[in-house]
Amino acid sequence: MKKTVQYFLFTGLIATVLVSCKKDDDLVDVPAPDQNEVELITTFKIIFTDPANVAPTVEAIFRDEDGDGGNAPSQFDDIVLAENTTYNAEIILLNESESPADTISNEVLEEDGEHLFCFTPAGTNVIITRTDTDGTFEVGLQSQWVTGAASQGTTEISLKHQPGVKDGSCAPGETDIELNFVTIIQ
Amino acid sequence: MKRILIVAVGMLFLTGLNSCNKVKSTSKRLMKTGDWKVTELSVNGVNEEELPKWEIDDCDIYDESCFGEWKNDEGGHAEFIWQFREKGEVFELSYQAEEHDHEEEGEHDHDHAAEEAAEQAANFSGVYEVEKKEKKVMEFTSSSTVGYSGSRVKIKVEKI
Repeated sequence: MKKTVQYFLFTGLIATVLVSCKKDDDLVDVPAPDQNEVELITTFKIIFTDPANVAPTVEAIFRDEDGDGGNAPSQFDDIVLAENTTYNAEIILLNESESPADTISNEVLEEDGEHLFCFTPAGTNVIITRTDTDGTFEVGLQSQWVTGAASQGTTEISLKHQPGVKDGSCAPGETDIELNFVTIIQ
Repeated sequence: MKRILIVAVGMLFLTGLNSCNKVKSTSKRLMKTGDWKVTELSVNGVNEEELPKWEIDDCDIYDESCFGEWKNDEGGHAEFIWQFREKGEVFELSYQAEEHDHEEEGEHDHDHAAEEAAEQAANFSGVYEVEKKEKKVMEFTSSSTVGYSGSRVKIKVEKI
C-alpha cells in the first residue's frame, strides 16, 4: 500500500514537472526587425564664387534621386573653372526625395565636430583649402579653390563621418558620400 | 531508505525543473542585471568603432515581448526586442523603430546619434547562436544578420 502511494506520488511529481515545463511554442513571437530609414543624400551641389566678382559663379551638381545604388544618377556635372582664379566654394547637401527638400548640410554644420570634407584633386591645377572650422579642426563646407594654368583632371570629394575620432585627417570614420568630379580649368 | 527516496525525488524534480527552464533562467540572467556594455560588435573579426550599451528591461518572457535599449555614447538610443529560445542556445535580436511625430519634431530636427543607434541595431538584428552565457559575460554569433548576411557577426556583452 505504502509503495503504491509512493509510486503514485513519484509519477504525479514527474508529470507535474513535465506539464509545467514551458516550451518554445509558449514564447511570445518576436516581430521581424523594422527597416531602418537611412538619411538620404540625393543631391550634392558645390557653388563657386569669385570674391573679386570677375569670373562668373560656377555650380556643379550631382543628383541621384534614389541615393546610392538603384538607378543611375540623373545629373553629374563637370566642375569647370577659370584659370588663375581664386574661388570661394560652398557645399550644399540635399535630400530632394522629401518635400520641401531637406538640407542635409545644415545637419553636417550642426554636427561639424564629427564631419570632414576631403578634397583630392588629380591631374588638374587647383589647390584646395578648407576655410571653415568646428573650433578645433577644419570642416570643408566652405573652401577656397585657387586655380592655375589650364588643365583637366578629377577632384574626389568625400564626406567623412568621424564621431569621437575626428583628428583633422581623412583617415578615421565612415564615408557618407564620395564623388569624383571631372575638373576642367580653362 | 525513505530519506534517500525523498532526496532522489527532490533532485529529480529540481533537475527536471532546471532543464526545462533554461530559456527562462538565461533570460533572467540577461534582464536582471539591467545594463550591459557591448565589448565586441564585430563583422568578420572587424570591430565596430562605436560600441553601445544595452539597457535590458525586466519582463515576462512567456507573456510579453522583451525590450532593450541600444544606447551609444553620443546619447542616441534605439529599441530592440530580444528573446532566448531552444534551451537558451539561440538568441534573437530584432530592431524596432520608435514612432516619431514629425510634425512636432520639425522637418530638420533629426537626431543623428539616434539614427546611428538605429542603424547599428537594425544591421545587427538577427538570430544568433549563444556561445557563452555566464553571469557577467554573454557571447552571440551569427551569419544571418540583417545588415551583414553571410558574414560572421559576433556580439559580446559584459555586465556593467
